[in-house]
Amino acid sequence: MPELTPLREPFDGFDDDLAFERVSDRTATISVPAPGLPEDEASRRLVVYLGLFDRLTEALVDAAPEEDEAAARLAEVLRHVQAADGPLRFALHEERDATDRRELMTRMRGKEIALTRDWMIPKLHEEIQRYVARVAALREAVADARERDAP
Amino acid sequence: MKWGERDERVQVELLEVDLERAARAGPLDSWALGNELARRGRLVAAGGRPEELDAVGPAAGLGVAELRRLLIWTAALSSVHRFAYVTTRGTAARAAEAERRAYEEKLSLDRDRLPDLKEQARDLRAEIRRLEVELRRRGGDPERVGGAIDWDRTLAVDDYEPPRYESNEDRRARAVDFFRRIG
Repeated sequence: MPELTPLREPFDGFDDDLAFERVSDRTATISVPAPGLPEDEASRRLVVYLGLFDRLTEALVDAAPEEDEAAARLAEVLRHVQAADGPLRFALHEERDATDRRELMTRMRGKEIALTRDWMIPKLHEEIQRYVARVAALREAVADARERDAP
Repeated sequence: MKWGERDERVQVELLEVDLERAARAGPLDSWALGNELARRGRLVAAGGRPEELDAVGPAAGLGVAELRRLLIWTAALSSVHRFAYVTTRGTAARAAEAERRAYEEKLSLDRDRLPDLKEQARDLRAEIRRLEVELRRRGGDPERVGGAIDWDRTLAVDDYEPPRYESNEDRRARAVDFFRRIG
């Protein structure tokens, strides 16, 4: 894998932001004009991110002394983003998959717990009471029979 | 917009580090920055996804404009995924915690509450059957004794054996014993 070189303004330190496993989960909201933006939240976020990177890349190109240098800087940032994107997508998929599996397992265990706690345990208590009464009645009957059999 | 008319606005949530980076790129207040990002975003989106986005390998031979468009789309799509990943880290941790609690509750029921009850029921059922046999042997009729059990409607626990839960200590002792014997 080719080595990535440090990025310049306005992308300096961008690698820390791309490090999805340790970047801060703090979020901030920005108020934007609604007309012309998609209805759903994720698509709206994409459009705002498109605007955000349009602004940043414009600043990067403006800061470059000539066109070749601008192209080289853009290509370098692109390499950094691409290098982080594959592992990010894989991790996101794994995370969602693991969360789905855990939630499914928790729901299934919840049903088992409810069955045990709300049905099986009360039923066992109730049956034990009936068994205790039956044992007492049978012992009495056996004792009577023994008395009858006694010489 | 005509004077006095207010445009409808929506709140869009981004990672704070990204918004701070956008703010550092030029002197705009939050209101103006929101306008700027939405305006630019709509324009880029209207141009559509670049074909190179789906290409495999380095973006060689592209000019500044094409490279810039490719970078904007790649970084924006990746940022949406990064936002999703970072903001669901808590969800995944909560799901893991809920699963652990459910597992422990089920284990507690299976280990601490059910075995005693099932063993008690199993022993009482065996005692009932033994007493019924003895009563019949002495000429009595168990059916005439009160509290007859309709066995088909009860939990069949006659062959129940409580599960054996091994502790880490038990496993370690067994492993040590195994290696001592073969060694």
